[in-house]
Formats: sequence, C-alpha cells, structure tokens
Amino acid sequence: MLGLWGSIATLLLVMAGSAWAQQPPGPAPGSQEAGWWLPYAASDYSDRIDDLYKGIFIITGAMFFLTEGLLVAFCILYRRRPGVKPHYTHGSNAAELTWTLIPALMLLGIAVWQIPTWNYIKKPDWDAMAAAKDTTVVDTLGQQFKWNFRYPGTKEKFKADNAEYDINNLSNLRVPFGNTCLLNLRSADVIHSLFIPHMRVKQDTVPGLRQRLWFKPNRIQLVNLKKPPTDTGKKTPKGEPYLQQDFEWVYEPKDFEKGGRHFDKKIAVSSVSKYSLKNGVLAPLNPAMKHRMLHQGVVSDGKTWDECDWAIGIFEIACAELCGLGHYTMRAFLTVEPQAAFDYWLKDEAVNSSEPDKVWNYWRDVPKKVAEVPEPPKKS
Amino acid sequence: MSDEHGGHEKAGIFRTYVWSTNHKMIGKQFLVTSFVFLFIAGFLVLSLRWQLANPGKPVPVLGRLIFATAEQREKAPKDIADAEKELAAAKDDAAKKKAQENLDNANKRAAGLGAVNDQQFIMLTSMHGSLMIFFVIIPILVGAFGNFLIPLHVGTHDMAFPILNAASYWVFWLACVFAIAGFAVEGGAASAGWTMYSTLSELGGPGQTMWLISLTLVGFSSIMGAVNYLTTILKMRAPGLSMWRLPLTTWAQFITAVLQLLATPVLAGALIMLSCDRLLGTHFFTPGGLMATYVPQPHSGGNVLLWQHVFWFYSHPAVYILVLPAMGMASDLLAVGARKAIFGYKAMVYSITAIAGLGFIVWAHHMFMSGMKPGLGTAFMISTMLIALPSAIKVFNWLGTLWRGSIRFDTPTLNALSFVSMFIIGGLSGIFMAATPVDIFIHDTYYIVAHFHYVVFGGSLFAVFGAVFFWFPKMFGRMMNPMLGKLHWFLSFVFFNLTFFPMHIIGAGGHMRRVQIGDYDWLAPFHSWNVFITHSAIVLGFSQILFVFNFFWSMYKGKPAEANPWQSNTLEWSIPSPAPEHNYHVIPEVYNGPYEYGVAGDKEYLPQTEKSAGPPAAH
Repeated sequence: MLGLWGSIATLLLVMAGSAWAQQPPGPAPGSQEAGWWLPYAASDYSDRIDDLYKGIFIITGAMFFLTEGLLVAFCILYRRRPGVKPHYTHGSNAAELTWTLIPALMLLGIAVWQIPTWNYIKKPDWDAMAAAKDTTVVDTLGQQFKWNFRYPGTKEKFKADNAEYDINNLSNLRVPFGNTCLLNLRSADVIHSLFIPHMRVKQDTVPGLRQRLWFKPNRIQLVNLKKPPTDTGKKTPKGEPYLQQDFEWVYEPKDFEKGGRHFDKKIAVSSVSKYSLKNGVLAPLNPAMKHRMLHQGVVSDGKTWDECDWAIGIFEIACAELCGLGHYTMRAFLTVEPQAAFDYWLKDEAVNSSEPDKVWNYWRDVPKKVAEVPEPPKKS
Repeated sequence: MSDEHGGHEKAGIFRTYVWSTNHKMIGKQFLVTSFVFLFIAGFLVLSLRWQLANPGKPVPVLGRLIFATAEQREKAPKDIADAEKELAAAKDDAAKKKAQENLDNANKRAAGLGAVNDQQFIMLTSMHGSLMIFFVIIPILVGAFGNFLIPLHVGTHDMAFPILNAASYWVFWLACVFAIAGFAVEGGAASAGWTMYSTLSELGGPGQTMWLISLTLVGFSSIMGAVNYLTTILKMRAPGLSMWRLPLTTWAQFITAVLQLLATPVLAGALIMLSCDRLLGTHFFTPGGLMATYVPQPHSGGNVLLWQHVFWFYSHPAVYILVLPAMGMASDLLAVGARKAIFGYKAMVYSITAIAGLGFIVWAHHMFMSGMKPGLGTAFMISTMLIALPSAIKVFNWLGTLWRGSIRFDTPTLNALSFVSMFIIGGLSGIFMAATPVDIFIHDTYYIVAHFHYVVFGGSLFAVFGAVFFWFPKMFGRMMNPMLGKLHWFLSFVFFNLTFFPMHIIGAGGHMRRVQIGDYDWLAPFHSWNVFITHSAIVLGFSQILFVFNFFWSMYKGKPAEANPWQSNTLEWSIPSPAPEHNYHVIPEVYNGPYEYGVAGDKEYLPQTEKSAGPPAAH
C-alpha cells in the first residue's frame, strides 16, 4: 500500500519537476554572480552534463520529499497518545519487494541514461580529432603552482628537438572560437587537476601518465567597457564590493565575420597578462599600456584601452586537486577569441618567441636516469 | 563507576581503569579517547573555517599560541620598535618613506600573527579528516560501542580474547600519541589531504611519516578488534540466541568486523609500501622524471594511481565502517522509541550485508577524474548505483518501523530520527557524484564535502549522540539529563544543517574543496556563504560542550538508573545498571527475537529472556 502511494507521489513530483525543468537553470545567462545553481555553461557538452544534473536533481528531489515527508508525517500521526497501542508487525514481503524493485529500476535508469554522455566526453576518436583541421592541440603541463600551455608555433607539429618553435604561454590558455581544443595533460611533480568550471572540464594530471581532454567552447563573452559596472551587493573576501560588468554572449563565430553582429565592434584582444579580472571587473593592469584591437576583421597593435569599446571575457582555470601549500593560487585563464585574433597572436608569438620555460626541456624526453637530466639550455 | 565490581574481589586502580581487560572499561576508554579527539579535530576545522571567513586574521584566543611560533611572537614587537626608531632617525624624504614602509609591514605582520598560513591551512584540512575518521568515528562506533555492547548483546561475560582486546586499545593509544606528535615535528603534521595521494605525500616532510606510522597502528588495532568481535559473536552467544535473534546493532558490528578484517590488511600494505618509499628509497608510487620546483627527483618506475587503488580499496569499505554500526544502533533506538518491531528485520540484515559486499567493488568511484580508463568509470558507476539500493531499502524499513508505532520523543529517539533524515540527504546527494558526467563538475568541490558530512556527521555522529544517551545508564548507572540532551540535540540538528546544507550550494557553484578563495574571481561572491557557514560551524562546535558537560556531570550527579529505563527487550537490560563486572551472574536463556514490542496480551514489550505467554513470535 505504502509502495503504491509512494510511486504515485513520486510520479506526480517527477511531473511537476519536469515542468519546472523547462525553465532555464540558475543564474541568468552570463551572470558571474553566485547563484543557487551551476555556473553558466559555455561548452559543447556542458549542456548535456547540466541536463543530467537537472534530471538527477528532479528524481532525488522527489525521493527527498517523499521520504522526509513520510518521516515527518509518521512522527506526527504516530506520536505516543494514551490508549493507542502500536501495531504489531514484523514486516511485509510485498512492501519489501516494492521498495526494492522501484528504486532498483530508477537507479538502473539513471545509470544507463548517463552512459552515452560519458562516452561522448571520454571516448572520442582521439586520432581523428587531433588530425582535424578545426582542432587546436595544446600541450599542458601542471607544476607547483602554475599551468604551462604549449603551442606548436609556426610548425605543424611539436618539434621534440626544436624547442624554439614552440610557444609556452604561462597560465594563459588561448583557443580560437569554433575550434575543438584538445589538451595533452601532464604533470611535472604532483597530481593536479585542470578545472575549467564554465566549460564543465575537470581532469587530474598524473605524474608519469599522459591524459587527454577535449572541449569545444560554444560561446564567448563580450564585455562592454563603455558602461560602468553595477554593484552586486556582494563583498569579496577582502571586503571590497563585487561588481558586475555589462556584457553579452556571442554564440556563432560568424558573428565576427563580415555582415555579423559584432563585425564593427572595436574589441580589445590583448594577452591576459595585460588585464586583470578582479572583483568582477576586467581592467588593464597599466593605463599606459598599448593594446591589440580587433575591428572589422582586422587586428591592429598599439591602441589605448580607451579606444576599445569591448573586450573578450575571460574564463578562469583552477586546480581542483590538493597539490601543496600554493594549491589555491594555481589560477590560470582561458581566452576564447575570434579566429583572426588567435591567428595574429600565434604568428606574433612565433616570431617574437622567447625561450620556452625550462620545465619543458626536462619534459621533452623523460630521462631514463636522473644523472642524464640535462641542464636547461642557456639563453644565447 | 567504582561500585560495578559488586561482590567480586576488587582489582587495583591500575587494573580497573588503565590496563583493564574488561570489555566495558575498554569500551569506555575508547569512548573518552575519541571524545578528546573529537574536540581536537573540531578545533582544527574551526580554525580552518575561521581562515575561510576572515582571511589573514588571527584565530581568536588560541591563534597566537598555536599558529605562530614563539620566535615570531618575540620578533613582532621588536620589529615594530626597530622600525619606529628608524623612522625617528630618518633624515630625508626617501629614507622616511622607506622607514614608514618598514613600519607598516611590521605592523601588518604583527596584526596577522596567529592567522592560519598556507601550509597550516592544508595541514588543518588533512588532519581534520584523518583524525575525525580514524580517531573519532571509527573508534567510537566500533571501539567504544562494539566493545561495550557485543558481550552484553550476545549474553556472555566478556570478549573471547580479553587481553587481545586490551592490546587493541593500547595499540590505538600509541597511534594517538604518534598522531599528536606529528604536529610537533618540523614542517607540522601531514598535509597532503586525508587521502595522502602520492606524489604529494612522498615529497612532504616528516609529519607525513608520523601519519603513516600512526595509521598503521590504527590498522593493527582494528584488526585485533575485528577478530575479537567475530569470535565473540559466532562462538559465545547465549543458549537460544540464534543469529536471527541478534539485535541489529550487533549484526551491524558483525558485518563491520568482517569488512575490517578483509579491508584493513590492504591499508596496512599500502601504508607500509608508502613508508618504504619515504624511508627506504623504494618507488612503489613514484614514476621517473619527477621534478619538484625544478629539482629532479631520484625516483623511477612507480605508479601514482596504484596508491589510489590500494588506498580506496580499504578506504571505501572504511566509509561503510563509518556508518554501518550507526545504522544498527539507530535501528535499535527507533524500535525502542516507536515501541514497535523493526519492519523487515531480515531485509535489514540482508541490506547491511549487501552494502558490505558491494562496498568492495565500488572503490574506484573516487577516481572518476583520476585518468583511469573511461570504461572502468562506467563499470564502477554501475556498481555505485547498485550500492544505493540497500541503503534505500534500509530507509524504507526505518519508515516502516515508525509506521503505526507509538513514538516517544526522548533524546535517543530524536537523535535516531535525525540520523535517518540526514542519512537520506547524504544518500541522495551521493547519486549526483555516482553519475560520472555530473561528477566531472562536482568532483573535488564542496558538494562532496557536504555529501560525506551529511553521512558521517548527520548520520553517524547523531546516532552516536543517541546511543551514548541510550546506553549511558548501562555504562555508569545513572541517567543523562534529558533537558540538556534535547537542547543539545536541537542546537546540533539546526546548526548542523545551517553549516553543511549551504555547502551543496557553493559546491554546485564550483567552489573547490581544500582551497581558500584567494584570487579566484568566480569564487569571490561565495565569500558571504563562507562567512555564514563559519558562523554556523562555530555555534555547532560550541553546542557540543553541552553534550560533554551532560556526559561528565551525569556520571556523578545524574539520576540513578533502574535496570531497564527504556523498556527495551535486549539482554543487557535484564541485568542491573550499571552492568556488573562480569555482566551476567547466570548466562541467560533466550526465548525471543529482540524486537517484540506491542505484543498481544497485557505486556507492552517482551524481553528476550522471558517466555512468551501469547502466540509464538515471528522469529
């Protein structure tokens, strides 16, 4: 009897939940404010993960109200009252069968439902993906306490013995909009975990093993520099006000091409080393610094910050696995930028490349013995 | 306490309170030792929460003493005085500016003296977890209640191996010494998380080694206890007491002992391997080519994930060691409180067994993000979904037990009801992280922290509060104060939820565990939640003083207890309170199952030692 009422109540709750689930989840698109839900999703498979989360939320929410509701109801209905004797029973096999089979089916349902998403994320055809034209391959190395991102530079492939062609971009991952980003992950010292919350990306980097990871950003944030930021009313740990800049989301790479909505905008596309993202506001580190600007599909250098009307928003990258006392400082940035800006940057870096970080030289070929570890090359 | 020896020859103080082989005294020793560690580990986490809410501000009262060295304390006022002198002596503007800067810095250092620094922060997270699991919850549930209750519940004089039992406590005590000594070594106690993932644990300081020694000893203690419990339950049951007439508390202890006996040796092996890595230069868990801060490390050939596999092969069953005995005790408290037999007694036993069995094949769900093969992830996801099933069955059976009962809301029942309601939340949130794609996002966030605190604090610790209150008369011959008990329950229940429920919210927002917000911009808005959680945690922590006060005050001043104050059926209530030194003057004969409440006839309950007048009971 209990099982029957339970399943009816569950069904009703699931239906109510699905109606509610049609609503967009959590914070309004683009809000960087802490909401009651997952942060804004901005990659190819992030919506699939969020849908699973939502579905499990509905099912477990229904079970929560059912079980806790019964618990409270029983506490009220069957409180001790004079003259009322407790019912004598040792149980019922029918009831046991009901509340074994229904949860079993629900749990198996959840289990089977998520397998395709997991396979989609974790088991792509890696070789085909690496060879595809619209894939950007980035070597990633975690070390205490920073992330190194290495690009193949002007050559097609990473050159094991030709370090000068490779570009190491410390703490700053740049990806062209519309491309798949394939990361080869390694760690130099301890386990780190590359966590890009808005992309729904997390993968431990394990010393001695190579991990692969892919994601495809499907929207970028354009921050309006001309509108003053609004106060969210929240305070940061240091007690400063947490502000919110006005911005909009761009969903299509072609919006930056001729005829697109953002073709005529003057967009700052400088390296993140020239900005800071602090208290919700994107601002140049030094007002005198010259910036790079994308306007009508053309990238030009030497602009002041004030000449730009918009800037490309930054996603933060974190370390999610305890890696030592500086664990919480292992912050990096992901910039998803229009293809033209990315190409310009890559070419520019390749021409003016400085020496790659010495950590890569150790990692190029893991030496067989410690005695064979070469000294880092001296800069000539 | 002293009058429990009755007519027997009195043992000396040393043999009674220190090197005692009496299971009840050993149980009490475990109980009090764990309480001490509950407060130490609680202090650690409150300091950590303080740092999260007030970054860089000294921890009140004890901070300067504990988180600053004597050298720093002496140096701070001297630095300020020096800087002031320099400022007074400065002649030109440049020198003045420099001196002012020095003075500001010295003042800043002095103001921040006693704040938790980065190294201490990760040490606090690591040691809070380690101590709470290995020195509080397991010893209370298994050491204290296992020891105290098993011989009473099976109707015998003592454990099968009393000296082994005492050895189990004293090995545990040695482990406590090493755990505390860890804080005194150079670089502080272990700080690689309670999971001690290689290679961070390999590279850390001597505190890491102290942790390993301490945990190896805890493991030995557990194995000794487990052997004892199994033998006692299997071989020393009173006549008529079949396995199917054991109370669920003892059934849970039985299954837990099996888990401990099978899983702890694996932990011991893992710990010894890691110790060899650290002390003897082996390379079980360290691959070649490691380079810590640009210094090549002399290792090769090991496998980092191997540590995670062997560690979780023990530590996942350990998660169930943390909750199964609590489930058993909560079942008993609910049946007594509702005056009703356990609904589906056999289903309860089968589901405990199923949890224990499945507990051995779910360990890698802690490693979904570790870089293990994705196919393995799917396999472990399915086994993890399956293990939710016996837990669900137990919840429904608890509800069935309350259904049409006659519930009496005394302190043990309130705590047992809290156990059930909090365990439901902890169980349901577990389904999110069992779903591998969802785990990609919530892995290593506060969502996980919320989940296991709902199980281990909301579940196990509430059951412990109830159980202490329930069996206190049998331990000390006096009742605990019910008013204080209910006040403590109320404050704990409210502030427990205010502390841990918001962690779901910041976890869903992506707040990683074991981090300070630092410079992360998307985490900054969560700061107000962190402040809220910290304030709730402080009240929660201080509420526990009520419990400890009630415990020690009632030991001497509580109302003297009758033999069966809760009108319970199980064997221990057939003897006087406190239990005499050798429990049963005559070994009792058992006629019934443990849950004959509301039986036909004029009897409201039917103790296991009484012959039923009415129709024969179901079991």
